[in-house]
Amino acid sequence: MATPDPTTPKSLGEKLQSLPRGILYLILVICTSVPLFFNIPVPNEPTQAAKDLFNALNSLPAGSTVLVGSDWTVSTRGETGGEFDALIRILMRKGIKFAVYTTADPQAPEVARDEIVMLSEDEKKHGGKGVERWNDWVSLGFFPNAEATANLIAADPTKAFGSKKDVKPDGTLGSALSSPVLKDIKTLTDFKMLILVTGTQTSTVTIERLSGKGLPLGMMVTGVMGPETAVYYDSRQLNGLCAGLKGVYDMETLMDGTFKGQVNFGRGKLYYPTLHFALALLIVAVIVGNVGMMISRKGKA
Amino acid sequence: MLFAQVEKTFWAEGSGSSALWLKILMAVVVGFGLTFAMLKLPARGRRTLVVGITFLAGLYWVLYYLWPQPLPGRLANGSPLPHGQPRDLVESVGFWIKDAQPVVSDFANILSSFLLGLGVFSIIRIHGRKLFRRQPDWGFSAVLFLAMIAMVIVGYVNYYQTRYTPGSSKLELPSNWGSWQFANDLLFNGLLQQMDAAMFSVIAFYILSAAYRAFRIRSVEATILLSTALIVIFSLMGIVAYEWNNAVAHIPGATTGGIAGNFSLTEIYKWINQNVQTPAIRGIDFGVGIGALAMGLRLWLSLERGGASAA
Amino acid sequence: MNNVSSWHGVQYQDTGWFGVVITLLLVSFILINIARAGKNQNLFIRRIAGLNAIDEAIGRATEMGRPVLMVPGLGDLNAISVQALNIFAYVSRTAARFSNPIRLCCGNAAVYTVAQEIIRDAYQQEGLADRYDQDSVRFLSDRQFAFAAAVSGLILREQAAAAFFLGEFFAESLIFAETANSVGAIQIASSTQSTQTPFFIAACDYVLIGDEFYAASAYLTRKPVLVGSLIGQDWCKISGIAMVLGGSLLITPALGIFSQKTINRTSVQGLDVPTTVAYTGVAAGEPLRPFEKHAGDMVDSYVIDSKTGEVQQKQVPVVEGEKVDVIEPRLITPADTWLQRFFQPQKNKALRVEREDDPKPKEVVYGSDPAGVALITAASNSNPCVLTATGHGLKNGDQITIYGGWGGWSVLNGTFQVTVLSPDTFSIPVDASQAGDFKNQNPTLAHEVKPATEGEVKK
Repeated sequence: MATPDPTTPKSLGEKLQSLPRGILYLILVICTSVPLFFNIPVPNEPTQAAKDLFNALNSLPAGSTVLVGSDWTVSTRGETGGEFDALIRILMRKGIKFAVYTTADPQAPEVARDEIVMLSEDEKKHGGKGVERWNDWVSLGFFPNAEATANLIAADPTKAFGSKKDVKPDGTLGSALSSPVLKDIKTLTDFKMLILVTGTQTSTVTIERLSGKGLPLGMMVTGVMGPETAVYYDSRQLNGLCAGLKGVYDMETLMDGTFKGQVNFGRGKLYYPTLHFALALLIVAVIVGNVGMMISRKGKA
Repeated sequence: MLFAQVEKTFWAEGSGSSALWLKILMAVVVGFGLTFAMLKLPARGRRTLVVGITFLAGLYWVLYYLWPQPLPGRLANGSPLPHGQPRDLVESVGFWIKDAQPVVSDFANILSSFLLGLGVFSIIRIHGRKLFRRQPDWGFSAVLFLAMIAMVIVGYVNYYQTRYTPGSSKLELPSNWGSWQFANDLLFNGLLQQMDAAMFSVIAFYILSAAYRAFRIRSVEATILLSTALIVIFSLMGIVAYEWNNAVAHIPGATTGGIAGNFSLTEIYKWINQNVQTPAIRGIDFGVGIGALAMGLRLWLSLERGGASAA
Repeated sequence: MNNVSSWHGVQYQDTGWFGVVITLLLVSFILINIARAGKNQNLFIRRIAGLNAIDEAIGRATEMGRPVLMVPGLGDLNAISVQALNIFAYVSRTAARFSNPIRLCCGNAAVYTVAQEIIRDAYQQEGLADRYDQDSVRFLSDRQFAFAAAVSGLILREQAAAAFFLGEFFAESLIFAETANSVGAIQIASSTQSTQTPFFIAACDYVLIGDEFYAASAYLTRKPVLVGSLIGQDWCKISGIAMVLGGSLLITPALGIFSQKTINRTSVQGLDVPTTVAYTGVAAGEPLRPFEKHAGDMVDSYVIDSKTGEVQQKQVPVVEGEKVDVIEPRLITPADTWLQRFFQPQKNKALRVEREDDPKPKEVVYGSDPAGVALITAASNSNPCVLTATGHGLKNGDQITIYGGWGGWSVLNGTFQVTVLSPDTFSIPVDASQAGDFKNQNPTLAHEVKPATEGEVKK
């Protein structure tokens, strides 16, 4: 990293290669905030992985119970929050009961609970049914050891969830296994599906311990984890995969095709145009840097 | 030789009973005694002891993963078979290993909790020195202590109130919150979570400056890297994908399965994903997995020299 | 007593004995080579640029009089952290010789405790115990972003000249890399997460990718045990490659000109029926576990005929003592049956077994693959809309679901009953007169195989 001689004036090439970071950051802030105020329709073709996940969810029979792993917190809410919203909306509308558990972060159960309550209220406002705690969904809380928990769920879910209590509609606590959601669950395959919404390593732990046991798996991950989780989708250990902000928009597009007239779009539609601008800025920055380099080279040659 | 499932161990006493406290005291005394005895051992004996304990500790987990776990015992209608009826030695060992798992993982959890205390002590020592000697930036050390104390107190009081006071299940609903619950909410959800989110968002700026600074077409590999990255970025942008596929669809034969159809953006991206990216990630993962296996073996059998073991 | 062997543990129901044998084989490769290595001192390891640069990095830091920063990642005390600390012990020894201050920032208390001991030992081994500063190894925080903020602050305040990021890193990797770069530090990084390696490659000077991280201790110290273990790992990798190549060769006869009619289908999952891993026949009168049926019980099975592509359903009796496993119904190739016979001799061919009393699963066929159910290639602007899909194979009254239409053609999205007009066209009750040009649409057709009454079209 040679320090440039401060006395000679910078050539155009060098100037292009060393724009001050502050300017770049300012342009990024503008690029990402301005599109949020406009409603820009963007065409989108969902990926095959997202289609498979949506179909897997869509073909679950009403009244069945699924396990939802919610390992995300507010820091990744743009991606995983949007995915969680889409998932819960689908489960609500198909009348599927779900049990939410967490192995990654002690804050995550509360984030999930708040989100589900908010979505349920929103659904009721638009004429839907919403979900009721205890009768339609239970929160199983936080499990500290991801591997041991996954092992235990695979071997015997009643032991894994046996000590968990949840709040009944009348305000008292009751054993989660006696709720309408979990009362028929005796073995792993009594769950119809496990969908994991995560931004952490729990995706690999879950696939290690729970794949190949007859339980369909679906994953909804952050964009950065997309490629490494796609490996498992490719080998058919996962039934479907939804990755990143594009994944969120894919799910919302697919929901819009099936649940006509209901609220389908959320964070995906809101943030997708912003993604375009940010990526475009990234490409421009790379091009500017390379142009600067080529001009410098030609100047020296 | 059939082990019955032990329902009640030696240490299982009623919660809060005096018998339990007595046994805890006994365990502490025996623990200290063993520690002092070990310190008095000569150096060579100490090494043998360490190797032996490491081997036994690792042996449990190796057995846990390799020994056949007993099949779950339930009748077809879901009611359980009478618990703990191992048929032969294999199953009784299997039952014993499976039942010991929570106990053994508790060892590790308890150790990490105590070690956390050591970590906190390190923080207190370094920042306490800064604070009391008024070294530069001591104000931030003061903020650190304030935050730590506040979170600890609020967290514990809130935890106690929501678990152990009668009627605490009502506190699940925000309408019943008291001031401690609001304080907990402010500190954990209002401050900590949002600061996490802010730091995560800062990464966006760093990505931009890293891309601007580092992506230069200096060599063939860099050019390939850059062009692949461009294709993947374009496939994330719906507008560009639409226009590109549009353009390709005009070529005769593209939409009806001709060869030109392979050049639409989604197809190119799919090819990169399935044929380049996935095998590469798999290859790296295999290598890393085997490396971790070898490292684990060396640690378990105390073959690791240099650094982590007393050699 | 039923006759399921007690050796048939829960964790072996999908791999059988094969998984255990492979694991033990890999372990034996490593141990054999560790044993062999004591005899030969001069084994070759290829050049790893990142590790060669360690001395250069520390030298640079010494010249500039600024500290060396080391971060062993965020993970727990596991093989990765221990390996990172081994490399840092080497770095510290070099730094100790030049009296260079070090900063080792730990994100986990257990790692912090071990790191303290290791670094102190490293200084002692150099005979420089008095140069060891207790505060050079510190615990910052075990929350990911608090740790990231603390390390960034440290880098900026102390102006580190050399930064080593080795271990388990997650999203905060780029924060470290860019901050270190902004103060002009030379960076050597490695992450075992394939997610974060690209960030390090873009932002850092030297990167150890994947397995090179584990080779580091052998590379730096050249101790025979470590080099032997490295060779054992190479043997394991060669056997992995051999298995991949062997598998490809075995499956090749099923492809191309040797194949029977292929049907590209994604895996068929009847999600409204619970699936179990194995059914074993049990003598009558014995209590049943969930994966057992009495001998002679009839169960449903589905077989895809590879010649015609038809899905045949039949009833099959469970035989006492024989295991009937659940496999995804898929194309049965000659290689499949041969492989199955080799590895699991008692298995029946590609049977999918459900419990008798459960409703039959629906098979959903996805029509976006060109060789399968045909693509919708054209649609008319009329009411009802006439869709063209060559060789669609639908019958009157079949139900199809379409999605993926956008813009004006989103009217196509939904579930409809089909009226067949010809082997290549059919119509659905959708008004598409205002939908515009069908070009660039690529809707996906999902066809639910539900029995339809011949000739009856339900609205």
